[in-house]
Amino acid sequence: MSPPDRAEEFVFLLARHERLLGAYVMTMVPHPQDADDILQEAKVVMWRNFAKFETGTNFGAWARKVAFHQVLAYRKRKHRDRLDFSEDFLRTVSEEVEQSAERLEQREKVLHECVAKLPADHRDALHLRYQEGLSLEDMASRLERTVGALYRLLSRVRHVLHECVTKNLHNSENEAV
Amino acid sequence: MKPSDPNENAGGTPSPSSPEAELRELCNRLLDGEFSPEDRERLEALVLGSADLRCLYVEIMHQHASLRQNASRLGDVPLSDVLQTFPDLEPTGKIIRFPHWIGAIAAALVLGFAIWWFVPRPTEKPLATLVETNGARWDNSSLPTVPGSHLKAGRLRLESGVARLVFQSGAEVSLEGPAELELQGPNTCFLHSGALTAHVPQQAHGFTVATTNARLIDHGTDFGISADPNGRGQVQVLKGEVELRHDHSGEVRRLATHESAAITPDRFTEAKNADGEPDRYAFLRKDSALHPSTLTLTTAGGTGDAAYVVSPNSPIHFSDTLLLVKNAPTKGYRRKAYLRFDLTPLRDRHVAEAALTLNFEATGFGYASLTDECTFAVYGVTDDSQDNWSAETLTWENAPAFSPDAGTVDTTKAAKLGTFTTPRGVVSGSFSIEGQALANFLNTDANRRATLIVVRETSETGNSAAVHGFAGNHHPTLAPPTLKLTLAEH
Repeated sequence: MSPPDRAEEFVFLLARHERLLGAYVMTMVPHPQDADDILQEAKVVMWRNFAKFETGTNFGAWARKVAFHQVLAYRKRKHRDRLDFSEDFLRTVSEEVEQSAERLEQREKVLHECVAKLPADHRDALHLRYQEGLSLEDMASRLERTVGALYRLLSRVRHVLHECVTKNLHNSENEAV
Repeated sequence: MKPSDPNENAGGTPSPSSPEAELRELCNRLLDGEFSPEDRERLEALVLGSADLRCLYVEIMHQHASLRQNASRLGDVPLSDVLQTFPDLEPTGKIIRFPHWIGAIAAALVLGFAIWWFVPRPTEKPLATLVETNGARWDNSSLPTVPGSHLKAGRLRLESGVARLVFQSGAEVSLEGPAELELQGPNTCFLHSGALTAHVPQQAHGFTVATTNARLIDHGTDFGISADPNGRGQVQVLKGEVELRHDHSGEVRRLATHESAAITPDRFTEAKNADGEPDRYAFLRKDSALHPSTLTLTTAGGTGDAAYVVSPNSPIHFSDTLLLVKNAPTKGYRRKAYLRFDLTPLRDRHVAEAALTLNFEATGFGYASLTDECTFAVYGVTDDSQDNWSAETLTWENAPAFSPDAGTVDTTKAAKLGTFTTPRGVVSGSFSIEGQALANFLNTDANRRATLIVVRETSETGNSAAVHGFAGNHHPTLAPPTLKLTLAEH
C-alpha cells in the first residue's frame, strides 16, 4: 500500500477512535492540559508505529495501549505530585475502560439527547464550563452566583446526565430487534 | 439579572450517604473543586475496592471528557468558531507535527469528521410552518414537506413548484423551485440557491435572509431575492426598504421601493434588467452552443450488471430488487454493492464531466429513525482483469478488489472516486457523486467495462439502524444506477 493510502487509513481510524481515546487518558490524568499533551504525544507515537498496526485488528485497543505507555512516560518525566494516581489505580482503570469501550461509545451517542433535555439554565452552565472553558470563579461573576451554588449546580447536572444516559441506553437495548 | 436556582440551598456539601454518593462527590471535587491528596487516596480506595464503583468512575470521567470534546453542541455556535476551537488542528508548539502530506489529509479528513460531529443539533422548537404548496416536487429535504407541517431547523430542497411558509415571527416566504432553503431561526433563513419572495409584516421587521456572500435584513417590505450556488444573486424591493450587508467587503446598502442590486462574491453591483423582469435565472441556463453532447448509461445496458454481496453466514435481510448496503461491527451483517457499466457507447470520446446517481428506497430492514447520517463511498476498480464478474456468481470471497477477511476495499486494485452522505433518518431518494475523479476513471478504463463498488463508510454502532438499499437492474419503478456523462468535443 502506498503511503497516502496508509495515511488515509490512519486518519480514518483515528477519527473514529480518538474521542474515546481522549476520555481514556482523562480517567488516568484528569488535568485537562496534561491529558491533551499526552493525547497529542500518543497520536504522534501511533503514527510513527502505524506500520506495526495490523489492518483489521482492533485499532481502538492498540491506540489505548500506546496511550497508556505515554501516560506512564509522561509521569516519569514530570515532577511527582501527591495528587497523581498510583500506578495500580491506572492499570485497574485502564482495564475497566478496555472492557467497557463499546458501552462507553454508546453512552456518548445518547449523551447529546440528554443534554438537549436539560433546562436552559443547566445547558447554559455546561456551555460556560465546557465550551468557553471558564473556571467556576469566572462563571460565578458572569452569572452573579456564588461559586458554591455553581459547584452544586454542575454536580447535579452531571448526576442527572449520567442517570439519563443509563436509562436511555437501557431503553434502546430493549427495543433492539 | 440573577436567575433563580432551585438547587441553591443553604449549607455546605451534604455528607455523602453511600459509597456511590461519596464517589460522585469526589469526582465533582476532582473536576470542579478542591481535590486534596486525601481525596485522591479515598477515591483510589473506593475504585480499587468495588467493581461497581470502578464502572461508575469510568463513566463519570468519560462523560466529562465527552462534554469537553463536544462542547459546541451545547449551544448554537457558528461553525467557524467551532472549527477554531477544534483542538487537533492546532497542535501545541512543543508537539512534533506530522509530515506535511499527512497534515493536509488529516486536516481534510479530521475536519470533515469534526463538522459532522460538531454541527449544532437542530433546535427542537418549530421555526416556521409550511402553509401550502403548488405543484411542489421535493428533493431530499431534512424537513417534512407536507402542508401544515411545523418545520424545525433544517433544509428544504424544492425541485420544482412553489412552497409557501410562514415563520414564527410572521414573515411569509414563497420559495420557488429549484431552491434550497435552510431554516436557521424563528426570523432567519439561509438561501443556498434558488429564489424566494417575502412579505414581512410589522412584527417581523429584522427578518434576515442570508446568502453565501451577503445578508439581507428587512425593514418592513415585500422583496424578492435569488442566489446561485456560486454566491451570486439579486435583490429586488417590491415595496418598503431592505438593508444589504456584504460578508466580505463589509459594504452596506439600503434599497427602497423598486430598487434592486446584484450580489457578487466581492461586492454589490447594479442589477441587470432591474425593472420589469429580473433575470434571476441566468445562472440556470446553459448556453446550448457551448454545451457538448451528453450520454446516459445504466447498469442495465450492454454488458452492465449490478449485484450486492453479503458477508458469510448472513442469516437474514435479502432483496431481489434493491442492492443492499450496510456496514456493521458484526461481520455477519455487512453488505456492499457492485456495479458494472458497459462503456462501449462512449466509443473514443472523452468524458469531460461524469455523475453517478443511485436511487435509494426503504428496505424495510431496521428503523430509519435510528439511522444516523451515513457516508457512502464509491470506488472504481482499476485492475481491469477483475471486470468479468457476474451477478449470479459474485460472492463475498470472490468479489473484485476486496479483502474478504478485513471486509474492506483493496485500495491497490481500486481507487476512491467520491462520497455522498444521506441525512439522519433518510433511507430513500436520489444520491449522486460527480467530479473529475470519476471522469478520469472512465477515461482510463481500457477494456470499456467499468466496475464500481459502493460501500457504506459509516459503521452502525447501535442496534436496529436501517439497512440502506438502492435500485438495481430489476426494480419495478426506480431507475437502475445511472451514469450521466458530458462528452468533450473532438
